[in-house]
Amino acid sequence: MKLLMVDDSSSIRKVIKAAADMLRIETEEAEDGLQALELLERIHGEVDLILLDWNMPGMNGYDFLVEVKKDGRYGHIPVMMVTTEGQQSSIIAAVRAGAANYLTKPFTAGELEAKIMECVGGEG
Amino acid sequence: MGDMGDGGRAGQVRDDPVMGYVADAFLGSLAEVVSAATGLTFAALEGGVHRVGEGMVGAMGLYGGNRGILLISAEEADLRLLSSRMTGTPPGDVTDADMGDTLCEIVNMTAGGAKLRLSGEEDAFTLSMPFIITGQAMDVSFKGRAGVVAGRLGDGEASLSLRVMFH
Repeated sequence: MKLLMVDDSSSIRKVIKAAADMLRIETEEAEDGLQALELLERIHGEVDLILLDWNMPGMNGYDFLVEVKKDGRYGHIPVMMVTTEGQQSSIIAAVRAGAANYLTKPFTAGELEAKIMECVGGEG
Repeated sequence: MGDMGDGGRAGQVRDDPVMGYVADAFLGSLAEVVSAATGLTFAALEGGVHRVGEGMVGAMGLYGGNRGILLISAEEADLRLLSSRMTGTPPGDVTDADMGDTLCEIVNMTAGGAKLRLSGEEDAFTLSMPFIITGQAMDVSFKGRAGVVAGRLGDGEASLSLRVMFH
């Protein structure tokens, strides 16, 4: 089981990695959408879940989500948005673009772990 | 610790219910962010907020329906503690870059939470990318009739100062 986290904040990536470690899930990380796309080119066969920030320099999370979902190689990988954008309109836009789940920052470690478990169907 | 010169939350918003509502949204959001991210319970503190330039300052421009800037500042020791608690990094291993990143994320999450609290209508403001200001003490002023809210939150271990200025 492998998770790709895409967030420009190293602090948030550390928090996500700690939660993934607790669930015995391996992690890969990228700082923005473009770096994540480059990474997916190489390891898409190994990735089971993508955790995606919205506001990032370079390619933002929404644009990355659209790119992933229209690509036959990656489209099946569930994407969970992890973002400060808590507006209902943002959540609806992300779900329409193909997001499987949505977690608004700030979150506790327990909330993050529960959401990850939801996305991976209880597997760890 | 110096005062920003524009007073604390109570002085700023005593006679202005709208700005009081805005202050409560930002300060409430900041307290929620600190609690969720670090486990610390921050409450309003008496006294002045940090001057811009004392310690490290995280900033974000706000655009859209309301335009302005959000500033959150803290002294280095306090930021080191917050970053350590947020990421699980031992305090002695927290770098300047770690502290800057943690402060940027606190700014980002605080703005996002305040936006949600203020959004009966959708377009309270639009977030931009957070950034860090370091250097000698300086003051920040806006042209025109700026609405300002300011306050300081903390506990016995650490504190953060917040200032929001709207055009």
